[in-house]
Amino acid sequence: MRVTESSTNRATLANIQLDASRLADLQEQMSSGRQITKPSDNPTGTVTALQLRSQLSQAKQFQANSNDALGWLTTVDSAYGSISSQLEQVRTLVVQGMNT
Amino acid sequence: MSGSFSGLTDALSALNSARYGLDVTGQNISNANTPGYVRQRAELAETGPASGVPSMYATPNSGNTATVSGTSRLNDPVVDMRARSEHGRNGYLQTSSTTLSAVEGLYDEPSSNGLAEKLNTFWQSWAAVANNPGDSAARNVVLQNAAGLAGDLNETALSLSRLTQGTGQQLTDTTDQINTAATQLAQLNNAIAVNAASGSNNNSLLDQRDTLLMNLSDLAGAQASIQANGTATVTLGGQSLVSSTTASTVSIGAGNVVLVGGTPAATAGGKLQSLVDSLNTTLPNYSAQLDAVAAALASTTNSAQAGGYDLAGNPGGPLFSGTTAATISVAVTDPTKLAASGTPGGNLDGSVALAMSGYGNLAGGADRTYQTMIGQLATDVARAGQQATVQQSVTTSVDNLAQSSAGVSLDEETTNLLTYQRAYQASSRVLTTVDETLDTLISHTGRVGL
Repeated sequence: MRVTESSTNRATLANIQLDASRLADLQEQMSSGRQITKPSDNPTGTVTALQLRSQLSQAKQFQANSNDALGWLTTVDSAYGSISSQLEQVRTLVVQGMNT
Repeated sequence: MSGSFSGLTDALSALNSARYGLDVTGQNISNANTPGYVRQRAELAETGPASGVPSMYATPNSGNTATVSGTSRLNDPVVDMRARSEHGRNGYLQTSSTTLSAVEGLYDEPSSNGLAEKLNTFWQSWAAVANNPGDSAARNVVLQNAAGLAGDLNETALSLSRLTQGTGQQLTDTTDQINTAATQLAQLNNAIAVNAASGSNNNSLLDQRDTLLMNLSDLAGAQASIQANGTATVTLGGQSLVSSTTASTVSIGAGNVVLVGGTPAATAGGKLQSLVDSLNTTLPNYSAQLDAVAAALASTTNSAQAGGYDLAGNPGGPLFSGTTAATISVAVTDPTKLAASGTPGGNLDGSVALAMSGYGNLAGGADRTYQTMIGQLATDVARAGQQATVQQSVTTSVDNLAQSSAGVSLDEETTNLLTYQRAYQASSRVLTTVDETLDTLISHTGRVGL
């Protein structure tokens, strides 16, 4: 094949363009800290990521719910504790009253 | 035996040929970087004996000097034709890939700002209501998240419709460009035909013709055939676009149909076809899918609300009104009107709110519909991008092939320059020699004894 200055030029420019686009992709990944910066980077990975994010958010909510429940249980527990100590006090007072 | 003076005319003809060679070489060098320029070569030929001269006067050995027989345009028509068809395909795929990437750009996924995350937050806020059905703060958060979600869907739908408008504008621009190129080509055909008939050199017109044909391939995937006199006949989707000196007008009919001279054209290629396909198929498809997400969100939420009771004990009303992405909005303004309870009577039951907090995983729900859409979009964009990359490299290689015969090599031209220069010098030498010979004959012979 006959090679001319302009064909060499074009081939070089096309390759530089390819390299530049790869470089831009890598820099985007580095600067964003994410391997998938747009859905087309990895179609199956994107769908998996979306599902995982949804599950993660649910898990976080479950955690918040259980913390809420723990809080309620503590409140209930202290209320029962207080009832039981007051009952004991009532019993003590009743026994004292009967003894006098 | 040639005549005494024929040497002079022979040398002159050789001088002229060498000078013409220098001219063509100079033209090649000065156009080395001109887009669309095809290198030319001065064709030299031997002159035969003059015709019509009676044999008694004819001098069989005389007159075999060089003369210019023409200027060749060194392109490869077969490769050019292949390059045009690859360019048509390339124009189609590049534009499709650009349009799909633009659609993809509307969805910031996967990230913590995308619609998916907004949906997650919305369902989560229902769990807070379930934990504390009487708390108006938790109910307010649900309303705010619902409004945010509806606003995001509206915004995306608006962007999609703007993208559709922009694509329509691009289609109009492309049609204009095609029409301009077709008109220019028809005028050029006229000039080429006139030049060809008069036998003038029309190489630069042919360069312009090829540039226009390549342009038409990129824009519309037009098919070109070159006639014997150098004029080009162009068809677009089976309809004649340029024939001899007449150009038909390309327009876009109802339903985005490409009309050539008023007749619907078959699928061709190029940027034009890609824009038509985007407007007819790709963009409506993604718009419908986004509407499906909005419809799923509205229907699942509203039916759950209808089965529950608000804080006052009344049956719940719809939370979202509108079923398309462009029209969806929040219908409830009073947080106590959100139905969280599964039993009537104005109690603090949170069973409906609890059920709704799990709707993120509902089959056929908004989240699943959205994930399917993003998955399809991602696959489409990736596939279009790959096809465009492959086609680009095919196109580049065919272009390089065309360049390998049509491109100017400066090394070659420099060598030719030297060759012609030396030929010129040598011819001058011949002229001088003949002159000196004649001088000897005329001035220095027959003078013996003078």
